[in-house]
Amino acid sequence: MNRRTSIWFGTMLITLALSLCGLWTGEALAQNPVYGETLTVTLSAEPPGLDPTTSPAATIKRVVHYNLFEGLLKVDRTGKVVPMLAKSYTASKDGKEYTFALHPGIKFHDGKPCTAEDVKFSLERILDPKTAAPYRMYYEGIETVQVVDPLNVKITLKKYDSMFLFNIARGDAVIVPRQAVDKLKSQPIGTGPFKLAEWKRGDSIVLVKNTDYYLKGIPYLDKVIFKFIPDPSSQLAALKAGDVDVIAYDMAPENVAALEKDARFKVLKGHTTTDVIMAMNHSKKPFNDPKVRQAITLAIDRKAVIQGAMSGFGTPIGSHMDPTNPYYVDLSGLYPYNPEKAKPLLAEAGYPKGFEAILKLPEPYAYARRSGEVIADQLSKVGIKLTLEVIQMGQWVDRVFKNADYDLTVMGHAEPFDIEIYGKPNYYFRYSNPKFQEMLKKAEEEINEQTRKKIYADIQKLIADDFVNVYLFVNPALPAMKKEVQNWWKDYPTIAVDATEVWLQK
Amino acid sequence: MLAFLCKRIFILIATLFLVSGVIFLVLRVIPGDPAQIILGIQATPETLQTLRHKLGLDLPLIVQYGNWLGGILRGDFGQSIQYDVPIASLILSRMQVTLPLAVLSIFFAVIFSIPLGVYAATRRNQVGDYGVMLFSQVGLAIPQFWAGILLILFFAVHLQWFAAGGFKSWGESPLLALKSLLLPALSLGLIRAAVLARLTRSCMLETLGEDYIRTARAKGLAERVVVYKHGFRNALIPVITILGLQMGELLAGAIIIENVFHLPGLGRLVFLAIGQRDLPVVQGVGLLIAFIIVVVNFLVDISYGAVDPRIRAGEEGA
Amino acid sequence: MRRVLQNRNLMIGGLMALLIFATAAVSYFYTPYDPNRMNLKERFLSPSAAHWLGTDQYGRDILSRVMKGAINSLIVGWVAVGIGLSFGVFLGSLAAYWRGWRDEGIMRLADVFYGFPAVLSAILITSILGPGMVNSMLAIGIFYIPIFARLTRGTSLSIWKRDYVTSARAVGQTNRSIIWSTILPNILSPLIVQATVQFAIAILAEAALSYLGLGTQPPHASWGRMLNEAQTFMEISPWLAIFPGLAIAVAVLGFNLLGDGLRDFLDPRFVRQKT
Repeated sequence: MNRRTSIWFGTMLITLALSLCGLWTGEALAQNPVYGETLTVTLSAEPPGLDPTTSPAATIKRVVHYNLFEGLLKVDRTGKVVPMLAKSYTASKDGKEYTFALHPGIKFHDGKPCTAEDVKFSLERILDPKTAAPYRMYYEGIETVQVVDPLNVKITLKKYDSMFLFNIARGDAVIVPRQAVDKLKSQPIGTGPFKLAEWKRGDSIVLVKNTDYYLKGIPYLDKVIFKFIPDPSSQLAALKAGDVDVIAYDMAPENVAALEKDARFKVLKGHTTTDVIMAMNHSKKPFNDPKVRQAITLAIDRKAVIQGAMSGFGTPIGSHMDPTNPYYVDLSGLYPYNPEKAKPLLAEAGYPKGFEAILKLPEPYAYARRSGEVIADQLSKVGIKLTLEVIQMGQWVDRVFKNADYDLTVMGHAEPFDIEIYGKPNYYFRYSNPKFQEMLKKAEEEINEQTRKKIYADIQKLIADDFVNVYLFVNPALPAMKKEVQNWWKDYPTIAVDATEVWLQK
Repeated sequence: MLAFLCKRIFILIATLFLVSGVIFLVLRVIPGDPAQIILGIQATPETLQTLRHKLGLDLPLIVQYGNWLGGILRGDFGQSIQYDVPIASLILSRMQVTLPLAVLSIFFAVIFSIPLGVYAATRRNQVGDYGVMLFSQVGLAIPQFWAGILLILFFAVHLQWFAAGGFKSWGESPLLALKSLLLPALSLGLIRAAVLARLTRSCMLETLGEDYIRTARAKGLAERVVVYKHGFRNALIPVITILGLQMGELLAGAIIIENVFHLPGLGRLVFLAIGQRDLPVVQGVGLLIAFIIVVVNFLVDISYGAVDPRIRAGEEGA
Repeated sequence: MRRVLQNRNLMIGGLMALLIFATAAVSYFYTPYDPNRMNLKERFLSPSAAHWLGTDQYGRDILSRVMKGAINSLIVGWVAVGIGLSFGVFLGSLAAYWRGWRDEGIMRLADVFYGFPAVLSAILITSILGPGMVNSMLAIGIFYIPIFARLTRGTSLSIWKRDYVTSARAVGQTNRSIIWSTILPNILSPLIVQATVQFAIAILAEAALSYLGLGTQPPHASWGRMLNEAQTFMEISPWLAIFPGLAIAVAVLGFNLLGDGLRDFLDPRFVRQKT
């Protein structure tokens, strides 16, 4: 080598070494959690209570799940089911028996230890009809819960259920203390890394670090304050003014572009498990006619709905499952926008001039209301004239959900992995297909992973081919926060706002 | 005088009863079972019945009314269905927003309207007068929420001097709390000022036309003394009484403005409660607002009567 | 005629009111674009030659929506005043005719509702009956009844006392024919003036109701509702928040001025009624 080459080579080497150092330092800096600090998070809805088992409100889980209460297992931010209170578990060959080994030294916030007895108590509590747990159905497959010893619990199922582990990780199955169960609604005593310090009704909930937490090293934050600001522009104003540090997951999509221009903040763009659908009432004409339902599906341009309702954020779906689900199959292109085909279909079904119907929209959800407005415009182009009725949530639950007193409605289904609702003839769609029920049963009882995958794929295609509902899009997760906030969840494969591993960079 | 007062008080109490009855009945007509809403979708009929019993919804109407009224008189407004806290405490905390807002609005209304009204009266039919009249007419025509929106558009979005809504609590920072009330109070106050300016002007004109003013001028007193010392003070009396009558409009405006600026006051509370079918809150706050309006009207009425003996003697005309 | 031209309020107000009526009438047959047709590729456009007032969050033409909104406001004003007038005049003239305890009763009842601002009561009623254009017309109209009743009663009473009525009765004219021939024509002027003012208030009240979500429902164009939607998107496009509000202000100002002008025109000695 001559001199020039060696200088060049040397420079390259040194540059490489320096970059590697820089990279390594950068990585180290970025990954070193900082302890201490208070994080203020805003949520749009205040929970009606703090007991996640006895109320269907998702808002409760958003405050307490993982922060205050923990279950045997949990769904982590990537969607995997991983250990939580149980540090490990074993399953029997036939998949009917599971033995969970708890971490030693778990204590409730009141100081009392958490043992297998509490696990037995909590699970039996969900199954007890007197508790009136709204999601009891997920746990009805449990036959018995046995205390093997203070640190081991054996759960026996009636038969193999492929959903069991996922269901045990839901927020309804958190472990609660026998001694404090009656006051949980306003005095939640759990095992989580935070405990309740104060609840200022109508304003905020303050959580503080649990110094007796059984896992060392977390949480990083000293305090978490959940502030309830129902209006999106007030949330934004609060974030910009520094009153809050994070908008939990539901920043208004129309404000994202402007906020991203501000160097002090960042917006994460992820997924939730909320499937937004336009439900059609199969017990009412003309929605019992598959041709009509098909025409409606073809007349709706999902991309336009996402554009108009969500300013472009959101993933179109073709069936009732969201992309974070391991069994998800992308069917969004199966029946693309085709209004020209819709009109002749309607004529075939006996409605050459179209027809009129009422679309009921839930007042609190802007995504639903706006989607409804765009849909009304699109359907009017093929002769279907919709009257929009915005109703209060209470009325929606009463009229639409309980009594199926509606033609069409738009709603986001937040519970993850809830395709089984199509197997319930009494669900508000009033859809009854024995074939679907049969396939669903097979999937839930199938032990082989690959076979199960195929069955779930077929199920999704079945309800798509049947045009049961119009599958619109999955609600995006748009957490917005100060640049200093680290390790906030981007995707939400389960209902929780997990602050346990979040920290504030100085 | 005593007879007049007694009659008035009797009417006041009767009106309050009537109003409370109307509010109570009217809210029982709203569809939607509160128990169902609280317990949600999967609630069984037994749990629903238990809650209904706990809330007292299964008692006969008249008993419910009596219980409710009795509680109010003792200061117990009942429990909010939504928040599960005593309504009285909710009202107290929301008052911290609405009361200062109302006071600040009246302040703005007065400092704008009175000088303008007096100015217009002294410059009758000249440019100044027309200017004020124009302001007054335009102010009457602008919807209050639009005034709020325009103020937000200019001062918050464009100039970025203020936040576009929201409220920092007094406990945290009194100065910032005041700041968050500034734009809302301005929206309310300016519109009220439009009404009051007109009124002040006409009252001043009437007073200035009175005999004693002419006498004062004839005596050789300086114009300024005439206007301010004699005219102004006497013109103020009807203006202040009208201000009282405007209380109803002010409260209505406060409800709207609190929604525009997302202030956690009484107005927003009652509005959200209506949507959530939180009956006890709507009843309690509704009664409070009605009570305030009726009592203020009553006070204005007797002060009119106190000032003008003709009104006491008989009630004729509108 | 000269009096009309000299009366500035009447002229300006009349012209503005006429403008609103004309806009409403025209928009019934023609608007530059379909006010409800969405065009999601053309959202938030600023005013331009193609869209004189720009487009909204769904790409709908704002000008067309403002025009159609005029129809909405005018109908609500009309019906609300209509309800107030028909029931109010009826009750008021009855009260003036009967006098005595029935008169007291009706007036006391009217007084209870009198102190209440129309917007508050309208909010309460629409939240019970449900939102919508029809319900808001009802809600506003109901609270106009006591206003017109009081006015009718007051003016009728003073007319009953007049000399020509006393002489008419002395001559033997029946009460009913007196009412028709003398009373009603003479209360017409104050009623017209009041109706015009209440019309303006109805437009404001309807806008407030729609802003709160209790009035006209989407996708129908309503000025108040447009302002509500505009507030969410103010940072992206301020135009949405300006034009509907301007329309409301013009309409209300016009009818207010018209009312003032009519008041001076019809009876200069007329004592003002508080609204």
